[in-house]
Amino acid sequence: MIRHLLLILFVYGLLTIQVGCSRELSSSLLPVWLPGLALMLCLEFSTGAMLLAWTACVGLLTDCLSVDPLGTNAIIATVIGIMVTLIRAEGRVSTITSVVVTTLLTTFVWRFASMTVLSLVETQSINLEKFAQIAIKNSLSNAAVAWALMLLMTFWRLMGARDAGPSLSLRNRWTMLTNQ
Amino acid sequence: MNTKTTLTACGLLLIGVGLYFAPSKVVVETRAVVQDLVRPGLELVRLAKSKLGSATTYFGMSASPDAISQEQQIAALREELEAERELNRSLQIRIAKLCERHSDEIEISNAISRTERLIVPSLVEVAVLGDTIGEEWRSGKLLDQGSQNGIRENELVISPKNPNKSLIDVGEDTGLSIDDAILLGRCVIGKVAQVGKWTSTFLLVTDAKYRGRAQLIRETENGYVYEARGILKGQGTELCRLDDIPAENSVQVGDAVYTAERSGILPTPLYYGKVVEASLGQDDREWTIYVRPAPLPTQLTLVQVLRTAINQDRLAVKQ
Repeated sequence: MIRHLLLILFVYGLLTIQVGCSRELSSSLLPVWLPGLALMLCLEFSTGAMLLAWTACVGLLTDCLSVDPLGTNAIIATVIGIMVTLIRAEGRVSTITSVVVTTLLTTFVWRFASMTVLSLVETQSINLEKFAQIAIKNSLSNAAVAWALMLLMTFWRLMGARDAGPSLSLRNRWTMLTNQ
Repeated sequence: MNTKTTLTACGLLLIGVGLYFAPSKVVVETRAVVQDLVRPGLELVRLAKSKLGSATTYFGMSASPDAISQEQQIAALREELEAERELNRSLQIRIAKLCERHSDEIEISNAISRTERLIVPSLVEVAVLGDTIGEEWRSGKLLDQGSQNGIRENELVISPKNPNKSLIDVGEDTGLSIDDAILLGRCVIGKVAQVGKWTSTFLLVTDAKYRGRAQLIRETENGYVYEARGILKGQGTELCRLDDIPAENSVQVGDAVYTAERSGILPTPLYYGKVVEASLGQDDREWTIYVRPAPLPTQLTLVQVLRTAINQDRLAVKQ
């Protein structure tokens, strides 16, 4: 429950910052594309059906906050969620590398797919090279942010482990029992 | 994937497809709900940005986050500039071709002696009064002599029933009249609603009470094609509706919408916006068209009012 509340808070915060810092959600002016990070959080902190529901929600929110036709980003984000679920079907270990790679790939796929699909829908000219450049820029910067966040979290955990009390080994338990 | 996940995936994809094909009313309402939800967060972000800006100014630091984004903005603007230059070159070539084709007509038209027009259009640049000044003006704080001295603004303009209508700093004193178009560059963004002695209110095209005659214009390889005329109606949302376009006319998403009023005084149409959605049911006699008006800046400060005036030179000659 707390995890989901935190997730809501983070997704809301990320999308709000993106909208507040650029006039449009799909703006290519900011290097970090925060909906990509929101999607990464959903992929990391949920599993199964909830993961898909979260990815669809992030996609839908992105649609609502941008000028793009409603549903396009929701579908793309859900498809990404399905792909990640299928790839992770065998087992899942969240390491810094896996999180960074997931962020890199998902942001790239989402950004590139959304720009291409929107150009197709609005019958505009498709400049794949430009789309790829924007998608690479966004995915690399997102991956860098994800890497920094994971490092911070790891550091936090390490600090927490150092400050924790004595471990409950057999010897310690015996000492604690005998002291009482 | 287990059955539950598979069913969820299918359901979500269906919802996504359904939203894509959802009627515009649903789309507008969904967007409005989400944007309302995001508004408190946006206020916080704006507050944080302003605090950050003031803090950096206080400590004599340059605005570093701005500086970072400025470089990217410069790069993006450079790209835009290049694209615009290319467009400019192609337009110049097109103009040269057209000039060549119509050179005979130009010679004839040059030979015709022209008379000065009796009624001439004129653009008046006016300032939009901000919320604070507008409120003070309406409450009489700025003009506190009151009605005793005969100095009082028109009731319709300062009426508390219209607190949301924007005010401009011109009125009867500059010959303004109701329904004069409010322009921003070449785009119509609204019209004058009430004219007072010194100030007037205006309606934006997105206002629910806005009505204006409009015409669809499509750009093709052979030039501009003038399509059907209709009534542009504001809806109180970001999109306007274009009504009275018969089903037998062709409408495409991306068609431009211009003013339909044209005369010898103002032969050039003015831009309203572009069609973002056009649908026609099987039994419908008219198209259902939604138009996105030209984007407005976050703060409207200066706008132009298009008004027609008598040519004083002609009158002087008569006298």
